[in-house]
Amino acid sequence: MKKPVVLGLTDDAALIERSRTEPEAFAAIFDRHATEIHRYASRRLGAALAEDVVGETFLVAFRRRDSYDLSYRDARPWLFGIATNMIGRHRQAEVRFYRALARTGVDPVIESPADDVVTRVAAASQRKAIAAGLAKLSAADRNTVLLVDWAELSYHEAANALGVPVGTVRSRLNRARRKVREALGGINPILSAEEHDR
Amino acid sequence: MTDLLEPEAPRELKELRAGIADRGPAELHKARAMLSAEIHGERRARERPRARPRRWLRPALVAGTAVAAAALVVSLLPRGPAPRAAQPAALTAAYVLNRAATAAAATPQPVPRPDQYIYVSSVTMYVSSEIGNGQEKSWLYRTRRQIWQSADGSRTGLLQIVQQPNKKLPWGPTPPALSGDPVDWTTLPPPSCPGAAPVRGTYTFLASLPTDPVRLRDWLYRHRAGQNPADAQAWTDIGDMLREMLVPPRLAAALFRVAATIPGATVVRDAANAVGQTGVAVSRSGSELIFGSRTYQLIGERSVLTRPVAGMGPAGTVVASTAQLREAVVSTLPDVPQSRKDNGGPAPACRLSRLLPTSSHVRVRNHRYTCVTTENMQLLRQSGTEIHQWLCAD
Repeated sequence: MKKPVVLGLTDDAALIERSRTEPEAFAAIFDRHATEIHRYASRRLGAALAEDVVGETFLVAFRRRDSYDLSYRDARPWLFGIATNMIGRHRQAEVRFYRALARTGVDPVIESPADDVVTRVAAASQRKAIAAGLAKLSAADRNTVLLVDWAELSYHEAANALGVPVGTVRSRLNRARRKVREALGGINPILSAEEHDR
Repeated sequence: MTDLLEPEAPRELKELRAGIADRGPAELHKARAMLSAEIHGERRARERPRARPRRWLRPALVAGTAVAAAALVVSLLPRGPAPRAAQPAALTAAYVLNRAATAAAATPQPVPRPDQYIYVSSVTMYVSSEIGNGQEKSWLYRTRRQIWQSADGSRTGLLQIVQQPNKKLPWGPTPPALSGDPVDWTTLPPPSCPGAAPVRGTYTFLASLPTDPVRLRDWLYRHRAGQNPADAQAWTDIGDMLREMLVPPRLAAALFRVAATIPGATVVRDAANAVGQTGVAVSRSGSELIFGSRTYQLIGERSVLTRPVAGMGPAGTVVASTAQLREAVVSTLPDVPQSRKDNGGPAPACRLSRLLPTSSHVRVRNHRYTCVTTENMQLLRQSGTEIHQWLCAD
């Protein structure tokens, strides 16, 4: 799923630098990363809101390109950081979707059958549990765990995206994954049995 | 168990919604259109100064045909509201200022040598108050200004003011008609002189400031030029540094970026400058910077009353309006007409501007006060050209 990072003359930093004098060059940044940002935003908010997020993300990125640190050759952490802020504006919708999935087993984010027939209708109890777990996370923990587990950023990239130290990413990640596991555990028949034994 | 230290992501989490359909960049029409509009808008903003090159007037020509030249410049400016650019739903002051920063950074400016002058022509409107006989009468006085300021502050500068007809304030009296010669020349003593404009007003000084917004913000807040609350003073100081000056592009950009961080600013759409050009303004406590709505270039300033003021008008009344028409670098001062030599022209270094302190009026932050009876004006406290206290002894 992860895109190979193109280094050299045409890496992101070079394109962004060029876009400071030739704004059109920034379109290449869009072409390179829009799909991935959209995919990530879609998983959190659904395809329709995700397109708004993508539009806003690249608009903000374009306007901030003068302050981009060119020593970062790959712009993904920067873009995902901006996207995270834009997704944050729809936090209530995001949580509402997780709760709906947790309650009904039907995922409101998967819009059309063409998207993912099986997962939309299959009311697997694990998916309900995961959604319930995600709904309960703090925004900071959720942002962190999804950047790593969905967007597949490394710890360092997630730290850059969120503007926090790597240690913070680690502790948030541990806490978030533990909570999601606990939510899963709640529906695990074996663990449930153990609980009844107490 | 290592899980306790680094718990693996639950497989179910990684797989949730993983089957969602991808969309290629070409399929993301709406998002792509947003970016394209923005790129296109900026491209046009950049091409504007190139398409219409500035014509630097020779000072001698300016001096000889000052009024005609100013009128010509005004007529060259686009009139009426500019076509609207694609704008996001919520236009914030920070957004406008950051756009302005990008536009400023992309606008080339001539760089003066230390021995040259910065020439700026502008149209202004400020409040004039006449005080005496126990009452204060205010109206709006309007001028066309041309100023020549020494780039490094080592030389005497020159200011030409051409009076324009006064304008009535909503709750003010009918203003007096202009009388006498509307053209006035004033020499500007070098900043090194006692009583001269502060040294921070020179190009050389501005060029020495940090252009990194964080460092510039730090500098501005540590070197506030007045006693207002920090944010208010920083906003005022930024306006002062941009006014009647050629500001190095990177500094202008940084000043706008700093302004974008000052809390309390709002956006005013369709604000008009002193020559009727409309743009989008950022406003803080009634003090506004106006930008071209497509170009995001600074086109002027405006002040509006934030509350009703007796003798002036209701909240929203425009009490100051400017338009900066042109900036240039010139090597010499214009020849002041012979008949004006007594008022201005080459002056001995450090001779105080004739306006101070013997004039019949004082200006406090561009608000001009006049005593009805000239000789009754008393200056109580002054530092530099800043008048802190004065009175009309009735």
